[in-house]
Amino acid sequence: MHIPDGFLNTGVLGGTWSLSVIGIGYCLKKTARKLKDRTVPLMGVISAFIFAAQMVNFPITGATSGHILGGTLAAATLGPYAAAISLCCVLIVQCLIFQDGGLTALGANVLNLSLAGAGLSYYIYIIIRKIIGGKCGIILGAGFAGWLSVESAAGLCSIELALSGVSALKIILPAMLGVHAIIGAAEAIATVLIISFVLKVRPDLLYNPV
Amino acid sequence: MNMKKRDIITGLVLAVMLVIASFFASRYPDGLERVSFDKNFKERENPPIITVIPGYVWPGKMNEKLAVFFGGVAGISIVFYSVCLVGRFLKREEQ
Repeated sequence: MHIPDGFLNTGVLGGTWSLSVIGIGYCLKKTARKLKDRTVPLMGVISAFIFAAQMVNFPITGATSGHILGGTLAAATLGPYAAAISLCCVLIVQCLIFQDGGLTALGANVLNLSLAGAGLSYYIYIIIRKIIGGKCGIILGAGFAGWLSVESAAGLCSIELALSGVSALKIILPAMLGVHAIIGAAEAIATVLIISFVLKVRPDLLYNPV
Repeated sequence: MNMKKRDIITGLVLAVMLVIASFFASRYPDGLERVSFDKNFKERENPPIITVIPGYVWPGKMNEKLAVFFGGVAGISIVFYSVCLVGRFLKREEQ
């Protein structure tokens, strides 16, 4: 769901860049306070894993493909702020080196996939985890937050496209949410499988261990 | 939480395995691209301003899977080291 150059107008580009700079700046400040020496390599590994996972497009219905975003996976292991920074670094590398996502649209992509996809999904994960409790809460919370991270990114992307005059929101929003509901389901399954594996072999790698 | 060297290598090996899995990735357009085709705004897309390793395929004449492998491994390395660099910089700033 990387927005290329040309889809968004100048006003939306300026707005999303501003929000992203402020958001990532806040995350950098918060992460610096909480970052432990041993968290740094974990950030690197999780980011590299997400980068590689995003290369694997899987087919869904209607001659369409999707790939996982990894926002909730990063948030559950790194916490919301470090996860947003990790996703932001992945998006910058994808944009500058691999031309996946436009340079002018980088602000929008960071807002949709990093700040909302990783940062906000963390709080959904934590709320569900607290309500249900135990390992079941962690797994179900991660799964639902994973699905919602994809849907929220699709929703934000639709709003940005509508504000840019690409298409009416009532046309583009159902189309984007519909196709990404299926991709989100795959994200949920992948997140549940990975978090279950982490819980089994290295539960201490979770941001808030059991 | 103790991140040992073995854990880092395991994580990076898993990432490389995903790059190999990407040889069999679907070539269909992704969700946003599909919507842009269906709702007729794909033509608004501008070509990238700069191109380095477009489409995760290492430039030059070589086997396509090998080119994707080199592109993916280069990406993993750049992402891993850049994130670690940001993390170390943040640690130093706070100290």
